[in-house]
Amino acid sequence: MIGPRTFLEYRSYLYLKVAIVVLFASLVAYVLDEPAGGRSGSSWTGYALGTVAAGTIFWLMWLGVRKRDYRATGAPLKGWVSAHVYLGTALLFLVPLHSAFEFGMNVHTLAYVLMCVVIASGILGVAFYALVPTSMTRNRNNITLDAMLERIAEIDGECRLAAAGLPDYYARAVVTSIDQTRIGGSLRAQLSGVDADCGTSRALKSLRLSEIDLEGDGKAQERKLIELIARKELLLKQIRRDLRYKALLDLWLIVHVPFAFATCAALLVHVFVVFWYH
Amino acid sequence: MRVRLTEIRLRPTGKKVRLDRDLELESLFIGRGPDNDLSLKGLTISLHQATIRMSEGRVYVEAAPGQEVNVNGLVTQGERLGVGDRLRIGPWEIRVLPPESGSDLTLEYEEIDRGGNERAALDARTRIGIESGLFAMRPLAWIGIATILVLFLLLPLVWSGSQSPWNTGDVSRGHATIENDCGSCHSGLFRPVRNQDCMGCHHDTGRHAPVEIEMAELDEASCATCHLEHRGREVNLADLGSDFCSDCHRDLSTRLPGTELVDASDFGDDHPPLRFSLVTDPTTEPVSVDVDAGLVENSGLAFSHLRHVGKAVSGRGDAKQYLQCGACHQPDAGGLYMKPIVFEEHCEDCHRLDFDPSVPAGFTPHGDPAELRTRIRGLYSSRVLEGKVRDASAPRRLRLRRPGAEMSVEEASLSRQWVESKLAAAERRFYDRPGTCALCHGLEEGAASDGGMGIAPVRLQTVWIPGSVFSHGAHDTFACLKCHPAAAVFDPDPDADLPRPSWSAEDAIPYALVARAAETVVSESSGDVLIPTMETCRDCHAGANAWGGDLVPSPCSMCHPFHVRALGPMAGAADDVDAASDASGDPSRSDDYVPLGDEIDESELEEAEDTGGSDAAGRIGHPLPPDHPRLSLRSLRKSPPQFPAGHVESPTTHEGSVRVRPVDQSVALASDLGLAFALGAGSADARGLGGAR
Repeated sequence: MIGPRTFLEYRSYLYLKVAIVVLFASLVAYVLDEPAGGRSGSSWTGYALGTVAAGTIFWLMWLGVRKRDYRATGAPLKGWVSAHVYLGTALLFLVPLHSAFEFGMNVHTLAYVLMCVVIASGILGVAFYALVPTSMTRNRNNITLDAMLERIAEIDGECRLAAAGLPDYYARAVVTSIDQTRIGGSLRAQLSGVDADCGTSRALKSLRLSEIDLEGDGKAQERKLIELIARKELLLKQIRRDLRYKALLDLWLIVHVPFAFATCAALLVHVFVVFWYH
Repeated sequence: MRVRLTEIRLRPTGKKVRLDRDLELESLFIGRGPDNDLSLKGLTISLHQATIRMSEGRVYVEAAPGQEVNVNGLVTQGERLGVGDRLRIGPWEIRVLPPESGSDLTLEYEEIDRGGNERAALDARTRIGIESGLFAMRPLAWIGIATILVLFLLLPLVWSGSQSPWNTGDVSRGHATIENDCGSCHSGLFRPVRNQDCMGCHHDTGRHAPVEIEMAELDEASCATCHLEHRGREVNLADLGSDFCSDCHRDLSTRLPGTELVDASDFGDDHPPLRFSLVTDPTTEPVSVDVDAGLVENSGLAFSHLRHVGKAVSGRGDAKQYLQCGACHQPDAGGLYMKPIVFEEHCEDCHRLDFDPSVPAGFTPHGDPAELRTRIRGLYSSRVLEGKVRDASAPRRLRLRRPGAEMSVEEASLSRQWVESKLAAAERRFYDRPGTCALCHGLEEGAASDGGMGIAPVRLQTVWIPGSVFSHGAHDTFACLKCHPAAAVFDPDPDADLPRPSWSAEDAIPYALVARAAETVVSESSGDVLIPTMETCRDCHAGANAWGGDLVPSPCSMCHPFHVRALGPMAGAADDVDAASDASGDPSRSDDYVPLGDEIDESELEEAEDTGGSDAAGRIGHPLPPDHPRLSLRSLRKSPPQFPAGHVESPTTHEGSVRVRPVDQSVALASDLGLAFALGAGSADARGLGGAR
């Protein structure tokens, strides 16, 4: 089965239930405890909820270690991811209960804001994993990216041969198609999934607009060349779509992971400061 | 020309070989096409790219029409060639060598840019993956960690000016001036704010219960348990809600068996009747009684509000005035209670203590009759000695006496008799005639300090409900009549065209109408208790949790301050052994407790004034009106306020003849509550009150 259903539905939504129970228990503790001076992060309930939240955060970070440990035993990675998603999302509500909904322009709220960015990117990641791989598989059509690139290299070689005997106009088109076709590149280029200035498209266009009247063998060579470059263009579109999907699957993570580390740093500062200035 | 062409070819083994061929021709054509003399592979080369020819012994290269050639790195249309020049055409390099073997021109050519591997070329133009340079997970993570640790941990640690991001929230208004000085409250690393951190400034904050009361709720609590800071500028640290009180006081009788306090949880619907501190005998302590319609006070004084309030008196000039409440009852500086009634200020204008037209007005002191007698004897004796006896009833010898003349035994006896007769006449006047002593006071034979006729004891109460704080200042939008109808009557001459007195309510009506309409029994006796009952309070004040309607939600703290200074200062935190042992001593120590230290310097006073001392007023949760006069430490030092005490006058005005018995309990409470109220912590001079005892 493709997509995140495997980990979202892991053991009949076990960790979704766990997350709901944890949240509900926290809410009950929050509502029942009415400390003198009002609810706050520095009441005993506040400390308890804060400890649970901080522990959860460091446990969530551990997924980065666990997923690289192929010899690990215990719960399968699928289960880890399932818990990661549900417990991580629960933090969005657990932390405000910890702070009794007090926010301000300070490092404490900064830790929460950073955590929100991590959670939002994580939710985006789950969404991408729900949507992108299906399209990606369909687009690849049982060909790997490497095979597609190999095929393009082959076509380039065939084009050189086909154009060898043709006038300069065709040679220039082939050189344009080979030298000015770039795959991937900047983040924007990869995310867009198209290249409006693709050398191959320009070469194909110029070949189709050719007004040179070739004869005999030249005519056949011309047709062959056009056919080759048209096929290359199709392959390039396929590759660029594939790279777009790959970029989407990577993009959320490049936000998710650094912000997660930044959250941990802010969390450490938060804990240090509140216990220093108890 | 004869040309030798040498191709340097790379064998698959990696070895280079030279292949020579000699040509004899007019011009050497170079291009991609097979018809050229030098045909070179490469799609970037034109079918016909360039021509090399010889003219007059010189060799030239010329680009074909529309083409270019690259000679020694320079793109040109044509160029003279010499030995050592390098031509670049497509992937090929053509080098001019010294002519050899009889040729005119020797050229060596080699494919230096082989390309060849299309996949490698494609990979070179391909970049897959969105990470690049610093825009990658690891660098970004390190940048994030470093940025946060540097900006929010290291920088604040080394430079306290950048600690504001550590602040979990604005501190309350009263602490705003020390907001950026974290160390003023947070005294140590990983140590909670302790009581002594607070009590450095709030050093006279009183206990809540006597030290012998042991309750975990009180013993384990520190200042910070209840007063949570960093919750916003406008948050009142003392506003803890009525639940805070009712948690214990709802069932205090079971929590604290044997307590005299009655359970209470809400002013609106669970509050015991007000308890008065009632003087039933001026020679004994006041008794604590539940409010009851039949209460009678016995202060030792006779007084009728009916005879006074609204009475026309002669004012300054020709203006006709009427006695109003404010003529005698003036609020004290703190706005809480009324200043004590003083004979010289409030009574003497009408009630003159004159006894002899020949004696100047104001001669008679209001006080101990023994002193009065001494002064009267002195007055008449000096008249005799100075020869100023004008009295027709005096013996002739005394009237004719010259000043300074030696006095015979007979004269001395005569003058003694005359002085005593004058004194007796004066005393008769004081004791018998309504209008002087006997008008207000009871007389007691032998009560004076000289054993003669004296004044019966007097005890006036000003703090009627010592268990709470009532601020007259906070209620000054109401007329006195509103709460004290039996006393605050107004009965001007109905025919006179008088301005409405400033103290009167909008709808103030003459006394006669009030009395008739409200069936108010107007007070004629000093035994009447004119303090309003709780029902009067409830006309405006509802319970703490009331909402909607016109009533004021009234938490416990509106009338009952938590900290009672008379019980001694708060104990320090659990680790503060010294403070704890101080507070665990004899409760009577609190009498010695003097809050205002001499060590306060001027700069501290300045600061306190800058903040207007305004936080102090709200410190125990009682709202004062916005226009209420603010007190500052400095102004207090200059002129200590007069606070209500348990008796009417200060010792200097009594000087003896009236035996003044301070109402100790009330004095203690009034000083505690009153000062805490008007000033907050640490400012007022309790000795101003203590001296009255």
